Amino acid sequence: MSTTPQQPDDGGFWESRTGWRRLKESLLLEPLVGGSRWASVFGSLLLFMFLLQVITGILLTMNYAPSVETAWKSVSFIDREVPFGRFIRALHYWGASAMIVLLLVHIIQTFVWGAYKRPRELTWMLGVLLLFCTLGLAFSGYVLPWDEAAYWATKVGLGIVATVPLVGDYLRTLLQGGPDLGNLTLTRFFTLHAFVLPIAVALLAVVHLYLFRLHGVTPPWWKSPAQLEAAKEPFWPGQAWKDTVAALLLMLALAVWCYYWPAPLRAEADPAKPYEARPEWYFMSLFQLLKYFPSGYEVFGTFVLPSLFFLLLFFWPLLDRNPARNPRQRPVAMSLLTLGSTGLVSLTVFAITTDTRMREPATTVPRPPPVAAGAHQKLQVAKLFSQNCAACHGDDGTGGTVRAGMPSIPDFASLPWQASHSDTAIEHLIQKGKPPLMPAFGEKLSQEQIRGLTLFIRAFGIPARPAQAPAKPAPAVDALPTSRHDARAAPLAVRSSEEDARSLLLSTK
Amino acid sequence: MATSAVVVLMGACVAAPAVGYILAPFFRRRGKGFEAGFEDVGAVDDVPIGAWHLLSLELIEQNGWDKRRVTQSVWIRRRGPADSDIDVLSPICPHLCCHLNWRPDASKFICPCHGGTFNSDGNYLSGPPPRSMDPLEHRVESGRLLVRWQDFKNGVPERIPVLA
Ligand code: FES
Repeated sequence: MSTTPQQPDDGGFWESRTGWRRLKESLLLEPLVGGSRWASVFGSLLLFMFLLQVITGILLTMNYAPSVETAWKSVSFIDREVPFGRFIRALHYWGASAMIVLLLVHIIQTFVWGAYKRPRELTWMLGVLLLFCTLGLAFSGYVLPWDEAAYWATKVGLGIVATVPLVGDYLRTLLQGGPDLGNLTLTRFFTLHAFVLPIAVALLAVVHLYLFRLHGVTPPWWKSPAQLEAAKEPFWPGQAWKDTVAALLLMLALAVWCYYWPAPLRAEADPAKPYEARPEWYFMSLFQLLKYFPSGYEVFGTFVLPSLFFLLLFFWPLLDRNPARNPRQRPVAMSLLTLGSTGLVSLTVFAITTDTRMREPATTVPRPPPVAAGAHQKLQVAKLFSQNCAACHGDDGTGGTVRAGMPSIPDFASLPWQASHSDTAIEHLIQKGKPPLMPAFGEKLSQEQIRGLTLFIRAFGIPARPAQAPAKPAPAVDALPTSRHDARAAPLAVRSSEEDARSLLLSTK
Repeated sequence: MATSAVVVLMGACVAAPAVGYILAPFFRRRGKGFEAGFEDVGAVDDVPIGAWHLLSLELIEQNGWDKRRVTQSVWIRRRGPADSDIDVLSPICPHLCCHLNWRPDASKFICPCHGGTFNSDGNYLSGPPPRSMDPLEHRVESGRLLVRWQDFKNGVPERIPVLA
């Protein structure tokens, strides 16, 4: 008898300490009755898409700042300046659409296959909850860029929530976080979109997968048990290969798509600006449905039908007592499926094809005929400039004598400077100042005065006579328009072309 | 059994404050959402007599910690030269809150969302909206038109102001 204790073959250093091989086996060697199939890649594709959404979502969060002031700017920054930002955001944006398409395929497939039948009822129900959470993610993510489309679509979405009987108003307040869409809405939706719903999806998916493994893959109904047994193979490597190849193809297709179609970003949200709210394509059927319910019956479109639909979907495995899985023996289920999906598809197609978006409303802000500026008014803006600005910027706007000592002071007469600053930017600079030297005038001057000054500054950029060298021009005080509508319209022209601007300014004289 | 009780107790310790925290929007401590005062829309004489015009007003909105100026737009029509001949309508559709457009070609307000229509007085004509457009309180002071912004509950036939 040997005295040295016999070391059991424990599979090596890592296996004995982590048990990774056993873990791998239990994860990957699950037997699949009936063998591997291309048709069963969709569940794995959904998992893959979810992971992609998590990764791109985390990347976006690095640059995104959820507040009314910063949301749009940060998203626009991601799009325009961050390397690959546009691509990553497109992946996240279109990934949501891809996920919904895959979900629909997965659900329809499960339905036709009869895979929700005993003992897999709960797997199905969790799947419906996952669908619900995914739609929630799509809705809550839509508002985050805070562009016009986001603002109005969410306003309508919350309007729909408010029509829920009894609790609607409370629900809206709860989601909206305040009296109106605003900062609290953004932070709440961000919490939902980035934490609550993804965690819910992850937990539900884990249980969904666990139940799937517990009951095994649903075998094809047309094969005998003996045939199934003969074709049995483990998940690894057959099915794993098929899943991975499918995921790769999906990823490539998505990448090509995102390269050519970046995610849209419209103008920053402005409650005062009319915009035609439209939902994403996956909510278009609901959108169309709402049109059919006349005054007094709106709640059927906004609440009753959609919730009936979800309840039916959710409890379907309990309602369908027919044990057969062959679709030919399930006329009721199959006709319901056909009815439901043609209904949804045709509503969507119909909504998209018949949607004639109205263009700019014909009458918006009235533009009263331009009136020659009163002498007093002209004097006032010039006076404002000489009192508040000329000390540093000089009477001619070039920065004058101080320029040498203050290298950062701009030259208003320089065309590059004019071209690189929008009116809003100039107004903003006057309002908020620019440390360390430029003081803020937001408290001191009114909005109108700041607008006037902006226009005054614009005028420095226009040489007095076209043929002359760009010498120090006399500011075109005469050209200052009177009403604020003109004040808005004129600088736009200045930006577009110097020549246009001159003719426009001359015409207002 | 005792263990479950402890777990439930622990859960309650987290859940109760969490629920209160989430319900915060119902316990607003900083008063009204926006100061429901009359805001300046512009000089009355700037608005041509006749058609509907979209003008804007600024109001201070208190949204939790955030107090800011918000611009809202309003539909305005002068039926005649007198100060009493002014109509002011909220542009928010009473159906689901889209922004209503005035269509001079059709002499109607048409909702770009689900196609609700209103006549040139803002009265309900057709489509899903449950009531006519919502008029807003206004008055004229030394030639300036002042309007009081107000949200109304959407999707109901009665005109119920939403107390912000
Ligand atoms: S929101 Fe105006 S008709 Fe629906």
